[in-house]
Amino acid sequence: MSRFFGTLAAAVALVALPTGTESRAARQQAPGQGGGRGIQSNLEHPVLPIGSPLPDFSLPGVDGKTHQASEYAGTKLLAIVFESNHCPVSQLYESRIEKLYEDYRKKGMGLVAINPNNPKTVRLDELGYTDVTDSLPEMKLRAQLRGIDWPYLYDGATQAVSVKFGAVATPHIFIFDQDRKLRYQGRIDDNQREELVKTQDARNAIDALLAGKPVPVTDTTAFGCTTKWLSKASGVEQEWARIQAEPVTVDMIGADDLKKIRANSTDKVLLVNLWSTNCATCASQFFDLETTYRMYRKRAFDLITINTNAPAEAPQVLAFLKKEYASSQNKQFATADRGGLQAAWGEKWNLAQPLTMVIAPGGQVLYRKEGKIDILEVRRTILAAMPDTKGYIGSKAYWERTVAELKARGKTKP
Amino acid sequence: MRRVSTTVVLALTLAACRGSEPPHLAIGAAAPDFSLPGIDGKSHALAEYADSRVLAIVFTGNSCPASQQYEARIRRLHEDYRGKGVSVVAINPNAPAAMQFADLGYSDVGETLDDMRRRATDRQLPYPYLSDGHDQALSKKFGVTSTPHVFVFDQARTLRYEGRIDDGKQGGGADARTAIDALLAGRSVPDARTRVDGCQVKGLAAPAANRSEPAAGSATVAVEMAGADELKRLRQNGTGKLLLINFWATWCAPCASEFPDLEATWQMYRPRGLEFVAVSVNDPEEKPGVLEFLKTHQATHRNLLFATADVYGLQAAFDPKMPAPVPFTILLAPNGDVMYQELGELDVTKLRRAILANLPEDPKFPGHNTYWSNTGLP
Repeated sequence: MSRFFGTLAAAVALVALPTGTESRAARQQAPGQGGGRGIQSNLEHPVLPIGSPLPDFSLPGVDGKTHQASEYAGTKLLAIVFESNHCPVSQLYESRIEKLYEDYRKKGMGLVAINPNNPKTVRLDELGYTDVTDSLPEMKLRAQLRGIDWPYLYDGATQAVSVKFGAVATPHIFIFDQDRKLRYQGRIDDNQREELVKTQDARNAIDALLAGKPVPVTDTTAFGCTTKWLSKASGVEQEWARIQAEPVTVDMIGADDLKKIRANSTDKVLLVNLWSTNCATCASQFFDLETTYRMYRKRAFDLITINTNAPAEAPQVLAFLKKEYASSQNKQFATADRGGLQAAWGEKWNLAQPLTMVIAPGGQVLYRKEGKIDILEVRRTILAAMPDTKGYIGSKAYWERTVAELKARGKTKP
Repeated sequence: MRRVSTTVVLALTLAACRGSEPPHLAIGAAAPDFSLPGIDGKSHALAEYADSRVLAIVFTGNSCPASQQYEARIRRLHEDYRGKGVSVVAINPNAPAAMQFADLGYSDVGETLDDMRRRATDRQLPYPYLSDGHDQALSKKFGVTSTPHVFVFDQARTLRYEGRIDDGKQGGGADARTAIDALLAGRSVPDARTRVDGCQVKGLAAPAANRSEPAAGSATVAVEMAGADELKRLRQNGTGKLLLINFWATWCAPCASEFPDLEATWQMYRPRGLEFVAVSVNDPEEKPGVLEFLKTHQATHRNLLFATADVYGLQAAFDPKMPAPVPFTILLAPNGDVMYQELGELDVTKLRRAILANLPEDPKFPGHNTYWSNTGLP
């Protein structure tokens, strides 16, 4: 490890080393994995080598059925794609996976997608580009939402299959020939931005195999989000402990402050929730709003909660917010004048119900709902509004398309 | 008032300059009482060791390289004399809140009780290890100003020896053992006081003196666009120093979450010559977000951003073997050898150990690199 420092041997002589340490050192490598060489391949779980047989699997799918490797025995080729819900790179490849599936289905290729992640290892701050996390029920939601009709299986429970493949990231594709020997692994193509793609590595491999020719390039690296291995510390519990330790405060605000929030002169997409402690619907959806805040707060986004109770009820208001660990910006209207509050906000609504709005920079209302909200619809509205230049190019378009397709279907829910 | 304080400062300065006789607990003094939290989660008091024929209290810490090199010797002291009625208790006098990055240049962890627990686990330290860092009241009673520093009390809990554990030479004077052996044999201790060398205890000085680090945000945060040639050069490490490189992206949550740890790591070891370059694999169009992120983190080290959207091409230019996903972190020796690599979110303590093992040996602390390279830790 330290071999490039020649003075070490001399230094050792000066210090009496404990024998225990010496013997342990002899058995194990020094810190790190580099060992004074070049970059090593993925050591957490090595990638399946070319020529390996298809690892067996039996995994639950979004269709409610269990799918096994043997089920696809009749296909000429089999592509296994690791993809996930939460990863923006994976989302951007979704339409390309769909085209692969459609284009090659008729030519005898089976395609199976596997989500390697366990939602228990995905922190809230890793959900900045998604409406849902990586659980099987949420994979079902994503599949319905996006019309995913290829098999989408969940390996998050044990990750045993993902470990066998050594799935480095989502997306990561593995292509097996008729004998179910691995003939290509790595990226789907050479650019996450589809309009810039020059080399279709996966298609080149598939076309070669279908034509009975050698695969031109068998191994490539796969860019994307690293697999959330159960074997690595995830920091989920630490994140929750940090959230619980965040200060919870309420500011009393007047009519002018309300008008300012409504006009949104910030460069952030604002989620605003006007609520009271006397409203059961308010309480029932408050946690979802705070969760949304924890998901998107590192992006161009903010949550402002505005309480409509009388000022004298401030202690109950704070108590409720503390119970919810509501570390968002929390406001309370400073006077008991309900009419004045609604006048300042610029509209009337039933104060016994929550009013939830998504407001773009400049004040355009992107979402407005009195009463119970569909939190996923709220999240999708926000995702379609946050700018890519401070995020991930292509993510905004993905969510705009999703929202638009839902609208075209005349629905807000898949 | 002002004059008085000047006099006091002068007196203290003179005492420090003489370096020989600071006001340590006097030989013959009674052991000061204490009740301090230990790494075992329990509180430990002086009375607990009442049955021990001899009690050795060693003031030692995590971050001081001299203390680190004495960990094994304190352990042997504990093991060799446990059966003879001798208790060895280690007490950390450093105030965690007073620690600055520059004080951590030789350590993977700081001085909190959690840090102490981690060190004791890593290094299999079996002796009680207590923290006096909260108010340093006990350390002040002992007059401890540097670590390591041992105080040996007889059965009546009278101080009979204070000073160094040994003279640091193989086969040289094992002062603490000599004192303990003498007490166990009912003889007088030959040298009751010896001089201690080591690291200054952190936090004892006035708070103002502990805040000498430059104000955050005083240096500028900038990002350079990096093409294939620049990345090739980066891989070769022409800096002549140990070089830490982190590939990250704004949309990558594990990247964002480990970034403060990387910043702190650079701050800790940059006085010893560590270079740090953060390379964003974001699309050039995402530069506003990249810059905003770096400014938020006051990332004043060198920052690069991929100059084109050809991520794979630029990664291959850096190194054809580079894994594509982010985060990816590597540590390069001056000759370009990869000394450490981590794909996915890193364990910052592991990274710090690798850095410590590979920084140039400091002649002031011979054997320090060995301490970190032969850890036997994963």
